[in-house]
Amino acid sequence: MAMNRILMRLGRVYLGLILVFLYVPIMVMAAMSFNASEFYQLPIVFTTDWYARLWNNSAILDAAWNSIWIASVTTIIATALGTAAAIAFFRYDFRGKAILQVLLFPPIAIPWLITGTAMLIFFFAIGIGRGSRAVLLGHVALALPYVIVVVTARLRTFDPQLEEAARSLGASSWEVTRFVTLPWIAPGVTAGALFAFAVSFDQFVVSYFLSKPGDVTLPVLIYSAIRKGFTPEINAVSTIIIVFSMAMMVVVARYAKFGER
Amino acid sequence: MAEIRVSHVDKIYGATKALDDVSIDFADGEFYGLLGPSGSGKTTLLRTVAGFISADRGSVVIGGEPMEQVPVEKREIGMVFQNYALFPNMDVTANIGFGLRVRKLSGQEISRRVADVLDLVQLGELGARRPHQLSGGQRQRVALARAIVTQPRVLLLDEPLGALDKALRVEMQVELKRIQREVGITTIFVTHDQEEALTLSDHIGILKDGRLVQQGTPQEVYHRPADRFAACFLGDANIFDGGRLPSGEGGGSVAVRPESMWISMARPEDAAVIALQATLRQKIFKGATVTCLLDWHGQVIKVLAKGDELAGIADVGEVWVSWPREKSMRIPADR
Ligand SMILES: Nc1ncnc2c1ncn2[C@@H]1O[C@H](COP(=O)(O)OP(=O)(O)O)[C@@H](O)[C@H]1O
Ligand SMILES: [Mg+2]
Repeated sequence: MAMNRILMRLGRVYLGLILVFLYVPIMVMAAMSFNASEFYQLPIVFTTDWYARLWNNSAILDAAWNSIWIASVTTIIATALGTAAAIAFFRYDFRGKAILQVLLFPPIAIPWLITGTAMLIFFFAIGIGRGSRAVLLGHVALALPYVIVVVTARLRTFDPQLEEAARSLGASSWEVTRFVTLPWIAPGVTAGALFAFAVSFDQFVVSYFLSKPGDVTLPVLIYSAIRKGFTPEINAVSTIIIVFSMAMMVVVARYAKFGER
Repeated sequence: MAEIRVSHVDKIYGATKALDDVSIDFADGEFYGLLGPSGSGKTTLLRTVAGFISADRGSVVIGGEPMEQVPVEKREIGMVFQNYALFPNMDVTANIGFGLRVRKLSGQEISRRVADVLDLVQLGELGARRPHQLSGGQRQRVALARAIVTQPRVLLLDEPLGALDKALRVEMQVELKRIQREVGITTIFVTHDQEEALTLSDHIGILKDGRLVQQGTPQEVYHRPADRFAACFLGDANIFDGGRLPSGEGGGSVAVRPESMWISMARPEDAAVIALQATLRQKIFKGATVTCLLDWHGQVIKVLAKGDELAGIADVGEVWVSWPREKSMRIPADR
C-alpha cells in the first residue's frame, strides 16, 4: 500500500514536470508577446503593440496567408483523396492492395529532411521546381497517409453488410457512400482532415526546401526571422497560432466526438 | 412480383463447390424454403440471386429477364439479413424510407408508404426510434418493412429468425407468413431449421454440399424423401437397409417415420401391416408424446407414440413394432 502511494505520488510529480516543460515555455512566450520591453525585461508592462505591428508587417501577413491557404487546399485534397482511397481499400480486393497498404507507412516514418530533399530533386527533374505548387504537392503527399490511416481505423468498426443492404435497396455506389458509409466514418474523416491541416500548417522542413525565397510559409518565415534576430512580433504571431490550434482542437473534439464510437 | 429461374448454377471457392449444378424454379408469389445444413450453400445461392455473387456457370432469370449484366441495385430485390443490417445513423422511418428515397420519390409519397408499411408490420409508434433502441423482434420487423416497402419483385431472407429466441421466433414465423401473403412477393427463405421450413413454405428445396438433393411441397418431401439424407434431415427416420426387412421389401432401402409406427404386445393380424419383433429398451416421456427406443437385431428403432397408446406395455421387454405398408418410404440404398 505504502509503495503504491509513493508510486502514485511519483507519477503525479512526473506528470507535473511534463506539463511544466510543455507549457511554461509557451506561457512565457505568450506573456512576452504582451510585454512592452523588446528585451524581455520584467516586470511586464502590458501592451498590444506587437500585435498591432503584425498588421503592418506585410512579410508576416503574406506568409500567414500562404500558410493558411496551402494548409486549407492540402486539407481538402488530402482528405478527399485519402477518404476515397480508404473506402476503396475497404470495399474492393485487387491485385497489389497489400503492397499499396504497406507502402503507406514509410512516408510517415522517413525523416522529413530526406523526404524534402528527395522531393526537391524530383520536382526539379520534372520541371516543377520550387514554389507554391511544389509546396502544395509536397504537403498533400505528406498528409495523405495520415488521412488514409485514420479513416481506415474508423472503417474497421463499420459493418460491410450495411453497404450490401443499401445496394439491395437500390442505392448506387455514390448513394451508398453518401448516405451510409460517410455518416459512419465522418468522425474519422474529420480527424483525418485535422491531421492533414496540422501536417501542412506546422510543416517546416519540406516547406523550407520547396518554397521560393520571398514566397514562404509562416514556419519558414519564423525560422528566418529568428536567425536574423528575435523580435516580440514573432512571439505575437506564435501566440496567435497556438490559440488558433487549440480552439480548433476544442471545436473538433466537441462536435466530431472522435474517441466515442 | 415475378418468378425466378435458377439454371445449372455452379459456384466454386478454391477446392469447395459451394453450388454444384443447382436448378430451381421459384413460382410467382410463392414462399420457397431453402433448407440445408450449415455450409451447404444456402447463403451462396441467395447471394447469387441477389447479385452479390456472380455464378461461375449457369444463369439467374428474374421475371423473364436474364440477370447476368444487372447489378444488385438494379435487380429490384428486397433482402433481410441475418443481423438485420439496419442503418445506425437513421431512425426507423429513415431506414424504411431509404429505398424510396434513392428512387427519388416525393417526400409526401415516401411518408405515406412508410406509414402504411409500419402499420403492416405493426410498428406504428416507433418511427422516431433509432435501431439501437429497438428489441430484436422490432428490428426484425423494421428490416422486413424496409425490404418490402419498395415493392420488390423478389424477397430474399437469410435465416432472418436465427437471432431470435424460440417464442419470438414462432410469433415472427406467423407474422412473416401473414405479411408475405398480404403483399404476395416471391420469397426465398433460407433456414437450417426444418420445422420452420415445413411450417412456412409452399415449396422447399434441400441443399447438401452445394447440390439440390430434393424439392417439392413440404408434404411431398416429408413423405417421399429422395434419399437417406433428405429422410433424416427433414425429421426423424428409421432406415432399414436393402433386404433387411422381411415380406418382400426388396430393392433399395426403406425409411419409416417414428410417428408412423406403433407398439403392441401381440403381433397385429393385418396383411397391410409390417411387423417386427423387437426389444423395448427405453421410454422417454415428452409430454404429449413418448419416444420409445427399441432394439431390433442390433439396430435402434425409434417410435413416437401418444401417451395413451402405451397403456399395458411394460417399460422394457419383447414387443411388436408395426406400421402400415404404405408408410414405408423407399429410398435408394447408400452406395
Ligand atoms: N467467400 C467465400 N470464400 C470461400 N469459401 C466460401 C465463401 N463463401 C462460402 N464459402 C464456402 O462455400 C460453402 C457454402 O457456404 P454458404 O453458402 O455460406 O453455406 P450456408 O449458408 O448453407 O451455411 C461453405 O463450404 C463455405 O465455406
Ligand atoms: Mg448461411
